[in-house]
Amino acid sequence: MWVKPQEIFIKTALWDSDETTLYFVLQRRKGHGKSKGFSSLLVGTLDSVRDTKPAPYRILHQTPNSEVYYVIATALTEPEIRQDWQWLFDNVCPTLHSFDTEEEVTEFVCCKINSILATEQEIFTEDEDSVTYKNVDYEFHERFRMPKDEKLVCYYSCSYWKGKMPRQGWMYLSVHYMCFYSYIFGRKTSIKIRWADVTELAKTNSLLFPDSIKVVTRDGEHYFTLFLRKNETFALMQQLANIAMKQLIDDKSGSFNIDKDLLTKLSKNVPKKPSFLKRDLDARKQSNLFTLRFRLPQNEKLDGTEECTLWTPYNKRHNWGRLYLSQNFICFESRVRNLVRLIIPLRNVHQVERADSGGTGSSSGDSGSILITTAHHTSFLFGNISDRDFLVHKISELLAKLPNDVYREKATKVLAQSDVDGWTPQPPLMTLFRTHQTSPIKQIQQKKEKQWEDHMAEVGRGVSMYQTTEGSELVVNGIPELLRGELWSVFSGSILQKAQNKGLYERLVNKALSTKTQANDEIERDLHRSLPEHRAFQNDVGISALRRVLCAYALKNPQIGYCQAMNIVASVLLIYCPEEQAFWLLATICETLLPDYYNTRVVGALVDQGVLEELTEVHLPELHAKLDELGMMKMISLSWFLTLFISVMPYECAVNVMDCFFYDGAKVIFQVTLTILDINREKLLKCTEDGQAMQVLNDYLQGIYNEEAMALSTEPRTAEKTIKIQELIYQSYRSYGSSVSNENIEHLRLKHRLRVVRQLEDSLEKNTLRALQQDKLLELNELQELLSAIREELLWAKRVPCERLEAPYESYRLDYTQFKTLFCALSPWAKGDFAEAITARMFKLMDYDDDGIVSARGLSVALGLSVRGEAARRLRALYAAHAPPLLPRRDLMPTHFTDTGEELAADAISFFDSADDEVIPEPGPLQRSISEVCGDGTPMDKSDSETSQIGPTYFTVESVRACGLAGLASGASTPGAGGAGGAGGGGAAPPLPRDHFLQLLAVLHDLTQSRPQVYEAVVLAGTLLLQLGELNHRPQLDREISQDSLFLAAAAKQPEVQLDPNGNTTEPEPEIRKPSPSPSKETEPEGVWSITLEQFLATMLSQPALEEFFNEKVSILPELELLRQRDRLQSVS
Amino acid sequence: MSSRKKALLKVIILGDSGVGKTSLMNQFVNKKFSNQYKATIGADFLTKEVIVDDRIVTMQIWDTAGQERFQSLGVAFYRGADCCVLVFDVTAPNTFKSLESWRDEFLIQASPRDPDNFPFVILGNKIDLDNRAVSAKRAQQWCQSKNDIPYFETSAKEAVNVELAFQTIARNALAQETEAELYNEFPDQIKLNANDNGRNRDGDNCAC
Repeated sequence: MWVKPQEIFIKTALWDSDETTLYFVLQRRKGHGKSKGFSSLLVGTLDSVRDTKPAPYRILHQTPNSEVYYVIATALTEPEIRQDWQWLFDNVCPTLHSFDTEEEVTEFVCCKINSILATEQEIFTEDEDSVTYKNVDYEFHERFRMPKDEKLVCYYSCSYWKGKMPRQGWMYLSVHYMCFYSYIFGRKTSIKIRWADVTELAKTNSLLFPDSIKVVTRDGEHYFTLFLRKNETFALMQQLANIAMKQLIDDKSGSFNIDKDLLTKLSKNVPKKPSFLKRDLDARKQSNLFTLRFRLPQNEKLDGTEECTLWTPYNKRHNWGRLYLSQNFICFESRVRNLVRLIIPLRNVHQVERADSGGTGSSSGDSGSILITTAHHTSFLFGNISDRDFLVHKISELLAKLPNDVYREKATKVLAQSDVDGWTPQPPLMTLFRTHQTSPIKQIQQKKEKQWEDHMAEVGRGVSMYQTTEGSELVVNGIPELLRGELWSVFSGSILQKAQNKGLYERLVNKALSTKTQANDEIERDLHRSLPEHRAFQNDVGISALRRVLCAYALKNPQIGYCQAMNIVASVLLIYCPEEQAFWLLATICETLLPDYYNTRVVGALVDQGVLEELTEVHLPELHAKLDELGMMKMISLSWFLTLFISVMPYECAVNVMDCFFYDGAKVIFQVTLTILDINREKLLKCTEDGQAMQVLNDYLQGIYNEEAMALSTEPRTAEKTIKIQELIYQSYRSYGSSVSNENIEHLRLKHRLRVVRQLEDSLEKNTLRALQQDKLLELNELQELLSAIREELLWAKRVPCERLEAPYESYRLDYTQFKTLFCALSPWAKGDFAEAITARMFKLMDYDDDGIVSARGLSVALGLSVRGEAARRLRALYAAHAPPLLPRRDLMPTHFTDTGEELAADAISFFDSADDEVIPEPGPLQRSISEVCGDGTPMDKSDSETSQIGPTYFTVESVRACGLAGLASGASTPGAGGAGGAGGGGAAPPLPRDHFLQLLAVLHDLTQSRPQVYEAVVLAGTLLLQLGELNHRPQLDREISQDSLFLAAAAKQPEVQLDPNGNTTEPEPEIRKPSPSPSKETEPEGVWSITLEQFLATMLSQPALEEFFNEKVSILPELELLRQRDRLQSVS
Repeated sequence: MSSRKKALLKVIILGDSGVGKTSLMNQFVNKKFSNQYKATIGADFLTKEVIVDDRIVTMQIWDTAGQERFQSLGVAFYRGADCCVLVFDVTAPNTFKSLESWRDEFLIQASPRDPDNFPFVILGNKIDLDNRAVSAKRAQQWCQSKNDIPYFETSAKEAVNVELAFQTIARNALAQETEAELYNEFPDQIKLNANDNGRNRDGDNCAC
């Protein structure tokens, strides 16, 4: 890379010259590549300690009589610098001779380089990352052997506590890893930790490790210290770890995408950071906080913020606060907490105009004001904007970018819903199924409605109402039933989701109802178990609406599908909201308010369980110890949180909690829970066992009452009244309203997510290990190591969302490339020239459903067989892997082999080829299916692979597999799943045709290549088998030969064939002795060249050397260790 | 805990979603059937005093959530269980097939001292329905193969065999309890070890 010519004086201080010409010198930095010795060590240290990180190669320009040198090019790699060097030779050197003076030469060179730079710069202005950053990025990848697509986010100078010695070095934070590198006087410390392995991140300040960041993994603890910007570093570490956890929770977001959009958005406010990604992450974080604060759809991106005032007409005041601008919204929040909050969807904006001098005299002179008018003819006045023109410009720019179909809501009227598809969305069910109200309660409700009408007359109605302190007081008192639907939608932000996704609900319902899924079955079972006490759900109208909402959501979000408790929540929503609105409220709860709560592992609820535990510890320390002892937290949090108290409190009380929950978010659940625990503190402290404590809480919860609404349950109350719901809520705000904030909870969730996900992964791993051990092939410690290798390998792949796992190991899914990487690294079978072929064939053997994916078990069995199986099992597996139809003819010719491999195969084939008329099939069209397997994993051509007609019976792929893998714990892929592995127990493999057999033989040669004795044995057995095959082929052939071969075979050893217990225990001998031995010959007198499994096994095992060879038990631990060292460097010093 | 003569039996009811766990519990405790139960989230429990061999015993019956995604969260409720009731729906073969996994999961998570002899009881519920799909013989056979677990065919709706089944549950749990009292003299630490041993042994057994 050319650089602006720069004068330097000392040429050789830290550099070695590789080449020198009259005018140019090519240098390499000491400590790079070849040179060793003290000075190069020193340079390495300097480079590592200082932030200079010079590129290791450079070209200098010099003139013979000058002491001044100019750096004109630098590069990270030798080829790069060589390229520049060559260019100089071709383009510059010839010209230089024409100059008279050295000054002219120098001037020319500098000019030339500068001009190249000038043109290059135009091309590279798009390049986001600075040059130094690129150097570091390069070093990062080299040092830690990172795959190319691993992205470095940021790097920091810090020290690592190695024992009691701090080591000065660099911390590198990338998307998937946290690394540390230090190199001081020849002592290297290198640490590489996956974010996904981190169980705890904390800032500590102990005597031993002052002012440090602690990183805990399952393997140990690491302490880092002496950060320049500790808080920034820590925040970034937390964010990255959190992204890794989210990926583990939610397979969908498997890969991390840079959001270029975000970068340009925030460029005005964010200072230059070394990495593009870092800026992206910063922006992401800000956007998250922003969407959380205003309950906006999660993908909303913050554009910028601005200090200003908002004029509130209801009290005629200017309120200082901050205006937030994003692609679809203008939001405002007052500086005084909860004073006023406002959201204006841009699509409602009708007009933006500059207003002159913002109305009242209190403004400081020439403050810029803008007036925003919405389609509903409401105006909002912002004042004291420092850069008004910019803001107006920005807003109009955003307006212009709005997609046309959602532009301007005024045109959209509620379309008359056609009931073409046999359903109509229901209005709020309470309007259809009125509950009887006594007159005092009716009066209370009417009074509340009046209060709200008055309030909304002042602050407006709908999305853009001013959310004020007065409003929140009204919410705490309980929203009147009639207004619940509307206000819930506004407060929760679900109204925005609904507006952005017009018509989606209807489409989802139509599609969901016509498909049959497991989720739908589960939903069906729970429809009558949702809110059975309400009349609406004793009737088909309510039940059908509930079915539509739940099925549509299961379809919309397959990550969640259907989780019990959603039915209960949804049924309450349907009481108060029109159907579509209820759907969007449910979506908002599942995705924004209670993230991950309802997913397949209920992760979110477990995370919040941890959060609750921590909050209890902080606020109610003595109670925490007691509850911990009783194991209570785990019991209460699930039912309380997942159903928003609906299943534990009387219905008419739980809805009041929901009022606040939609207004204030998840914090409400926590503060109410803490309050309930606190109120019952004395009783709880006296409990001696969990049942007793549960009883205390149940009695209390059931006794909560609401005098302002009708009880739903018609049965007389049995529980003693305990507290008015309004009072409970009020008390919860008073005690914890300010100490438990949503930001606080979000922060704690981050911390506990690490732990919960780790636990889930651990238990998944434990279950997987337990299942894999049942195959009795690999040892436990091998399996453990293997799993961790698999995890490492899978990190780079997109995870496939799986609906339901039949077995724990199914969640580790390897495609062919991943399988190959591990199998080739670990199995002794994949060491020779046929490695690729064997691997591909074993893969197909293990790929039960032909989908190009095998589970962890597939790999463990394939590996296990190759190192631990008894000789017969190993040979059987090899045989099956080569038998049709599993190995179709077209796959016979190796495609990916090395040259020598091809030769070897050819050798083996020609060696045994006795001038037969049979022609080896041409490669070409035959090359497909291995490549199919290797490639994108499209299912293979069924027609070709289903069955094979060799021999009298049809052999299916399944039966061949079952035969090859006979002896496993439970026949096939899944225990008890019948089908796949069935095939009558052991399964059966067809006799091998000649070509298939030759392939198998070639593979056997390959396996035994390094062991002359064994190799001989293979050759011997191979010859016998080929003769046998011939014999099967041409029974009319001279008896002599056949007899000979038989004697040979028999003489070698009385074969005691240890066959598997699954039935194939037929002795091969009698079969061969008969003139018409193999089954194929009985039906086809002409005969086909073939070798049966029995013949193969008998002949092979009659060679002691072979039997011994295939009985050798090899540990794969050394290979695993090698793999590990290659993949992850663990603090090497 | 060790000093207390335990007159309290903790019983856990497990089984797939919708097999009638809540109904069975309510039929036994409250002697009534209702089709107005909400799906159980987390867990719920009821207590009832029963007389077993002239001894008054309090049964604390824990009813759990059946959906698969909650299965691994049961550990909090399992601890200290004296008996485990596995329920399936005789009209739904799948619920019968899952018994094995419920049983395994329970043993893993609760890790009782003596997993081989931990008292289980199997209930085939909903025999009042016509569309029966799991025969009594098949269920019986499975129970026999699992160390002779007692098996009852019940109907929570019509109160068939419910009382009898829970009597057996109480009796078996109590028998286990008497045996376990021996252990109660040991301090807690040793109990932990005993659990660990139990788990290991279980692991070995599973492999066959």
